Amino acid sequence: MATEVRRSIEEPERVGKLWEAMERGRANRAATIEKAGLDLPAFRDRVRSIKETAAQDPTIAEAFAEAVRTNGGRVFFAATGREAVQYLLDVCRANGAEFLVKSKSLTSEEIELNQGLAAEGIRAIETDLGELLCQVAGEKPSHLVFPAIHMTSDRIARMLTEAYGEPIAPEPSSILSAVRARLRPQFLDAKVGVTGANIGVAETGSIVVETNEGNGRLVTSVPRVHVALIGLEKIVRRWEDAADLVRGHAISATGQRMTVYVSLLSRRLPVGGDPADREFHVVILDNGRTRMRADPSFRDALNCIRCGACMNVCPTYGVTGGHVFGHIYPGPIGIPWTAKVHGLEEASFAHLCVSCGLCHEICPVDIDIPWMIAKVKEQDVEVHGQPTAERFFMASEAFAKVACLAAPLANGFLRTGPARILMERILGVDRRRTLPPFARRTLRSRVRNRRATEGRVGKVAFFPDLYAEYNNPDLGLKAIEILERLGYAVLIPNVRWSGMPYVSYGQLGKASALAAVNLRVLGPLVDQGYDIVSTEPTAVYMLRKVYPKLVEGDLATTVGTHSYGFFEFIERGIAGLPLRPSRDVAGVVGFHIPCHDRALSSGAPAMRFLERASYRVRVVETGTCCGIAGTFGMKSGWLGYELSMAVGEKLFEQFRQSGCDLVATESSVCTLQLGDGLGRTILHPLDLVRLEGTG
Amino acid sequence: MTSAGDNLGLARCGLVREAHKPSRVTSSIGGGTVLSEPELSDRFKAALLELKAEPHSATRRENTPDILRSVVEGHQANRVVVANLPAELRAMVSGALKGRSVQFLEDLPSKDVLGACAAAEVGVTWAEFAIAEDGAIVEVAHDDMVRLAASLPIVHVVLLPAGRLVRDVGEAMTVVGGILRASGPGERPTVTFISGPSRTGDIELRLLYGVHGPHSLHVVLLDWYVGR
Ligand code: SF4
Ligand code: SF4
Repeated sequence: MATEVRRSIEEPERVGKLWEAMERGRANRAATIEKAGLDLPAFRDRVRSIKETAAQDPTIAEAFAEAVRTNGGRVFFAATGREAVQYLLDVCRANGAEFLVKSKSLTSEEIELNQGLAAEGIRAIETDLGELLCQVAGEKPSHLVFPAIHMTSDRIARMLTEAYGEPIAPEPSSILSAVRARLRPQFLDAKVGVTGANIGVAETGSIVVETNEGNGRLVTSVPRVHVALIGLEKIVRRWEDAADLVRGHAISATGQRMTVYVSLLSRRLPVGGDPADREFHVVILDNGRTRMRADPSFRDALNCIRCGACMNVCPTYGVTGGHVFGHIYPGPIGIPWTAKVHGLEEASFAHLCVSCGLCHEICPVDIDIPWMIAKVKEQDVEVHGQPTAERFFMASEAFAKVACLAAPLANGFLRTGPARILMERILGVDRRRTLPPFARRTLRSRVRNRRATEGRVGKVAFFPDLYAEYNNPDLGLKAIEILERLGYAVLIPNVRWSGMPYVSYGQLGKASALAAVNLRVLGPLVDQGYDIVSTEPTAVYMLRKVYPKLVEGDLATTVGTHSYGFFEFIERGIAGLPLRPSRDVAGVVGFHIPCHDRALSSGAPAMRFLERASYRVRVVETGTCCGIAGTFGMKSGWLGYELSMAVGEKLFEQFRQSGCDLVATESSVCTLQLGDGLGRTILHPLDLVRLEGTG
Repeated sequence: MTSAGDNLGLARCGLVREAHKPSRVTSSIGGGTVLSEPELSDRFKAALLELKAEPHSATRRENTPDILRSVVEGHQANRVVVANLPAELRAMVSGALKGRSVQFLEDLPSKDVLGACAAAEVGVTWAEFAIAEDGAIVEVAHDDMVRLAASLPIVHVVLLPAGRLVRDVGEAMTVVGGILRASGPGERPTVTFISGPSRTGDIELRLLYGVHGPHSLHVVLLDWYVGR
């Protein structure tokens, strides 16, 4: 794995235009959503409820099969991929077909149909341009929507010139004409056409096939036999359910409002009035789906509509590409799918996930992909063990406690080269990564002797997490001071850290135990009217989004709904705050939004806070992670620091280009990454203000 | 062969608005906003242009042949196949394209249909209605000759009554669901939403037209025709 990551990073042409494709994908999607005036949360809810019913209700597939048969079609339930391939083989043989034409179907790739047919002497000809290019090259698709995104037009032209035995110029239009001319006779001669199906509709026994190139139209009209391969989770009850899915596929995949050809097929039609024994077969594929449905941790994966949006936002997929970050199903959702359909052994790319959470945020079906990935990692480390560095970072809290007790010593140690080399060798912590110094006195010891203030407005339990407790208590103190000025009584509850690394590194048992400890402290406080506030976005993310997954029951949900990011929380009273800038306001503050805050408030309250203090603020973003992703980027080697910096480089470049005078972010780890990448001081928004009436 | 349009159940579904009666908006859908007719039609044309499809307004019966002729001439095309047109429009089309090879697929022996479509440069077909905001025309086929005529030639010309518009894909699915439910199991048509010419982004993400389907899509909106 490390070797493959290294090759992707060192030879960026291998991943080629992937990053650009992702950026464009995200931009087009956002533009179309805005233009269409789509109410995204409502849309998400609708798609989710349609898909949940479709994926979880086994009677729908039965009803669909019955309706297909009534329409005159044939149905085969394939329990495994092998059974499906065998069925296709039988169909080809019965029709004397030596080859078949195929439109794009990920499901057919899942069952490795082409290989299965080839072994028996039957050629499957891919007709989707991207798939065809992969087929000619003998490579796997590297992106769900743009399978050949890793090839340049020069390479394509060379490859086709050789394959077709005629010169083809590297202009895209020449390539297109050559492919069209080459494939046309094959379409016309084909006896069997195979498609996937984006949707099955039970009420009329119909399928929906969406293609942009028009190959789906030809595959389903010219050959005498049409076989559609459909995963059983794709069947919905009614046509009205299909509308949102048709919309969702196109918008999230390519930013189109609708795919160019959306074909709704219910049976074979005659040609020129002659029915001519035309056949329609539907293969309904299980291949692990029923198993997935029965597994509460992975059930959510069945809701996927294969739009590819999660791929377009995943930072590490973006620099490694689908060949490394994928098996057959690439990208974030590829991790749980691979683990469940192809087995844990094929899903080791799960460790490339840095738990940034962005895939969940963008998914039009609201699938909690990061949670399923954590489950896959959990199973994987049980089998294959845990790297030392990950064990070290999971012990961050204990380390911080000790380091604070001997802060000058520890800081001196962490600054010396030989010590860092030792740490790298023994613990796997990259020597190049700046680690934050430890404070002599922790936040708790510093507030202990303060006079408690009366809570006119309310009561706050301040959750410091590691950074404000052990590394930067000044930050915590400033936050507490502001809260008190606003009329809150503030206490620091007897909680531990939030424990994100346990989730990132697949130790969900430990994560749950820690969550339970914290919830036992926080629950009673919430009952007494306290709100929980933290300056660390990851802590709020854990409390609000992850603890309810880790610990069942109302307690976690209640605590989650009473947990706030600091700036979000103080917004209500901010008008009364005498905020003054502590730096020159002539310049512009470049603001970095931490990934975990994208699931919360996307940095908006912190930016408004700075604007109130007279700063001009501008978001600088690539639309994905800065790359450090918690402690991931502190690990040494290609599966840590190097990968993290490769992801970060895109953002560093944007900051360099931005001409911003100051750089700010809320997250403690993003601060490290930006500091290392930009070689300048990164500020917390609270560093940029002072309160009138204090020093 | 069943001709399209006979059992569409469009009237029963009640969602398709007739533009020639702008004051009469037939229904509101799911509580959504119902746009006024001129707005829908403007949006449809704008959406077509954005998708690189070419809208043509045939305001009167008399200028419709000229539009057809100029489209075909513009592509320097000689071989035209026609399918699925309402019977009363057939004479007009053959008149407009006099001097070229025009084959009405309904008149051909069935074994010749595929060859005729594969050899043609232009396919002329019919759309039952269109989806305004998505710039999609809705083809309802009871015979695959329609789909072959619309997909094999490099130019696709589609005719439709200008005012038969629904707002979006949600409304369209309601209409189509109605059509499919109303047809018997052995009679269900194949319905296709077509929004623009065939395209791909597979080579270096460049948007290219005319992969396997038509390079060009002309949508001729018949202002004067109410439908069969
Ligand atoms: S959580 Fe982030 S890194 Fe992990 S798969 Fe999702 S987008 Fe990729
Ligand atoms: S998981 Fe969500 S975002 Fe990813 S492909 Fe599936 S539906 Fe799209």
